[in-house]
Amino acid sequence: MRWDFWRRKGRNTDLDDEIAHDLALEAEERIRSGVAPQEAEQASRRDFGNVGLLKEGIRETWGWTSIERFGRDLQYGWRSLRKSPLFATMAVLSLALGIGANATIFSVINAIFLRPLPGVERPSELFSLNGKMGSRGSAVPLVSYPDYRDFRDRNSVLTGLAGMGFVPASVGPKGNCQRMWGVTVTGNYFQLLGIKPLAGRLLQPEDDRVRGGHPVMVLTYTGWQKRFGGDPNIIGAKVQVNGREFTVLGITAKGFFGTELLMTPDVYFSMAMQKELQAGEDLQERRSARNFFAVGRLKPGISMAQAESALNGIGQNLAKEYPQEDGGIEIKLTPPGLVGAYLRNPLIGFVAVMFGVSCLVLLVACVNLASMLLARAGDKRKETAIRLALGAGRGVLIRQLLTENLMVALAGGAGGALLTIWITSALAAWHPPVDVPLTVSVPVDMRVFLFALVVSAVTALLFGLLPALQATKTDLVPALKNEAGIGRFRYWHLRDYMVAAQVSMSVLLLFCAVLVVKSLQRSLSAPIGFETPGLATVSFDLNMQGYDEPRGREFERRVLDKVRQLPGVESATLVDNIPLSSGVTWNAVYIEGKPVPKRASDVPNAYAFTASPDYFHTMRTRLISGREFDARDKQGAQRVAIVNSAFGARLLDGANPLGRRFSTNTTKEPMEIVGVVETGKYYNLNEQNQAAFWTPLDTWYKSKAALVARTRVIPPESVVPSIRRVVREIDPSIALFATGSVEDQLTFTFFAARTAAITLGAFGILALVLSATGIYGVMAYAVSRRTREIGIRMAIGATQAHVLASVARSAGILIGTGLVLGLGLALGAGRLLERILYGVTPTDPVTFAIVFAIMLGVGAAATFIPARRATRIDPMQALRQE
Amino acid sequence: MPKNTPNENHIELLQGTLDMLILRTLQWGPQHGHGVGQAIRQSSADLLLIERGSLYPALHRLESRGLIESEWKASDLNRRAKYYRLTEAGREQLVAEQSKWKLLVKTITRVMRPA
Repeated sequence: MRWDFWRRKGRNTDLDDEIAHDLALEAEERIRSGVAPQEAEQASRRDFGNVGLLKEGIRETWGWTSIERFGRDLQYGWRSLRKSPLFATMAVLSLALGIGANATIFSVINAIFLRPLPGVERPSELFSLNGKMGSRGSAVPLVSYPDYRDFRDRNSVLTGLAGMGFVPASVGPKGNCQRMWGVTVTGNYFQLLGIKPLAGRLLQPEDDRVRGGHPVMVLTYTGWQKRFGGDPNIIGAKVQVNGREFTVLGITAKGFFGTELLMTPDVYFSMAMQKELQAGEDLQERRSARNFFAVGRLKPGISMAQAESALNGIGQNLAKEYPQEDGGIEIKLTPPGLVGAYLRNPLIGFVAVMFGVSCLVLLVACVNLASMLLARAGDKRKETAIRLALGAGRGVLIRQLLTENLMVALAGGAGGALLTIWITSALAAWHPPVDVPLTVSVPVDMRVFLFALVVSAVTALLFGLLPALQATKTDLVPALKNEAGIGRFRYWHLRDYMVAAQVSMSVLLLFCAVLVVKSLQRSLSAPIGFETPGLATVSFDLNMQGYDEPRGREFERRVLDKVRQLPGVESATLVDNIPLSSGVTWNAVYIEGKPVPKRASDVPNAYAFTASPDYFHTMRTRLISGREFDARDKQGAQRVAIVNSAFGARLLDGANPLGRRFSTNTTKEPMEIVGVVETGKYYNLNEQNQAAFWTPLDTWYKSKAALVARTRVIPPESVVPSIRRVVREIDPSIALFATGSVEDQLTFTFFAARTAAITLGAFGILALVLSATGIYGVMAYAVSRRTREIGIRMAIGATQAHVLASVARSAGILIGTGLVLGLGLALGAGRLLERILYGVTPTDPVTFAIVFAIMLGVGAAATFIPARRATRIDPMQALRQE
Repeated sequence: MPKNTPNENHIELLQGTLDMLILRTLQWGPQHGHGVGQAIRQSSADLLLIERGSLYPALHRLESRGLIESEWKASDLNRRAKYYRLTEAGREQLVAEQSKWKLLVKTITRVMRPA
């Protein structure tokens, strides 16, 4: 067949020759019987019949004309599009925007849900282990080391279970250390994941035998490039880690970055060194210290659900054996990559909403395309009629129109793919100012291109078919006479329905966008229990510089003293974690005089902070009663704490907290509550009335702390260089991190809301632009069709105002219908958005008013130009035209 | 274009018999399209007139089914002409169609026999 195809030209000439031969013989016969030569040729031609038709029929028997036909359709489509470049550009552009929006969201879905973990063997068998303790209610991927050990050793459903913990560490050649994110992993980690070394060797079970006895490390490819410039002699080299000497064993293969998609570590340490890397705090023997991630591999043939129920069986035994620590523990398994269930579940919801919204944008673009095609079909009415009159089949015409649409759609799809590449590469270049190794990588792979291709092909066929059917259903006689069909005047054309639909979808999108933007504004200005404007901060971790407690206390005291004297600084304080920043933790609370709950999951808890004197003054947190931390709260002094009002309401049944005592551990001496402050937000913005308590930093030494300064300067981060100088004067080796204004540091907290607002806002504007062009196109077309009618009206005395009113009325009906429909849809959609909204009800009347006004304004603007053109119609010219 | 009004004396060709007639004609040796048409006409004493609009598509159809094959040769008048020739498959097909045809004629004759 293929061979035939290439010989097509040859076969065609052969056919011509064959027919010519026949004609010649025929003519000769006639000449022989006495007919004049010229007449003979004509007669034989006449006798022969329609040569073109015969050839067409014969070509049909050759069987491969569909390819040829498609080629001709393509040529025809190309010519026809070249003749109307404005239509082609608009159609391709609107589809590119719609498909681009859709493919971008799809590439995010692809990157975080569909793509298997890179660099890992058989990633489908891997899972992340989540623990759920009754009272907190949500599953987090954290287990204690003893629990990890028991799950690993007691199960029969797993090939293996590896433990890991994220630790920041100061790494580098002596005297040139920098903060890097590392992971302490159990010895089976690399074997379990099936990671190959790029050079040297990786950690093995032998490297995790003796506590504190394996000062070795493995670099990731990026860590090796970033920190050591890809030094080929790094294997076996000695490197300083938190002031100790570690040996580099090897480098992991390129492309591997652990099992978390968003957190990419630079270096791996042996779990045996956990205590040394985390300031002598041994977390491996405390069953209540849930500080470790666990990633496991299912045995072949075991499903995740089977493994989950098996592990829950072990969990129930643990709850019986250790009710204090593990009472009420529940295990949930999730695919790895998105911090277990912690990010995965909210992300699924978020991405689903965004995908739905982007589909809506695409729908608007498609409807736009369809209404443009309809208008175009109107313009080509005469051409279509002529072709139908000459005997072209309706099927052929429809096929040609669809081919043309396919060309437009594929061009739009290509544009959309380019847009996606552009957006995702911008996303990859973005580094959120947070204190974790967060990387946003959204690779655009074949799957994304395939998606764009399928979407464009489907849109071409789905949204091109209706206009094509309409276009070929022409009434021949009036079309040929170039009559505009005044006789059968209809108020509602298919086009009009489309514009109304488009307006209603734009209203819906706009409504969602405005709602989310308003909610973001609200949450940014909501009371969070402290005032961020004017606050500057720097963080340090003294463990990483090898400080012991006495030296660390001395350093913290001196830094605070000096910073407080800096010009422009009103007050300064130290706190282990700024509320709403990434490191916030909570602690169990045992109230003195209340019975200790039997199960660990029944113990109430509260957010726990440790702060220096002046903390509440600096943060501008209102003190309700009692006192702030002050010079009395020294090392070894009476144990005290300050709680928020929610603490009193929730944990003390509303009693006055002052003078009451509680502890965080049944074996420890309780602390007395000496102050009560207003309740704010501590972990995320959606929380309501969460209990929190603060303990004095001078009593409870913390090596990692954030220094917060209330400044009089604008912007607040301009004092950071002076703080840096102060620190350098005391100890030049201290590395500061997370520096800048507190507002910037909290960016991550607002990340989801901000992303939602930006995406929805962009989609809303996109939909608005698309429907504006839709309204404009349809109105302009309607006016051009009505030129004659308007001419007649004006000739018999209609004024410009009459004409304007007439055009505006028909536009008004379309836009009004769309508005009402869209606002109805918006009421329904608002309910879906309720979960991510903060401080705005989904039926917010102000939002309705804003959307109404915007849509009306855009609609009016899009109608104005065609309407004005209608008033300028010269009746004489309009009537003479036809 | 004016449609050919069939001559009173001409017989309408029965559906499906053209292929058989072509094969039968080519049994006597290779022939070009025009020649096939003439041969059928002559052997039917001018009663069967094959239109080119049916003849040529039929030839091409038979060729694509492998029942006949073609070759370009110089014709009697020293013109380049396309000669069709029966293939082995075509010969078998002709035998099969001939016996089918005989059966049909016999059956129809029996039915139409005056009672």
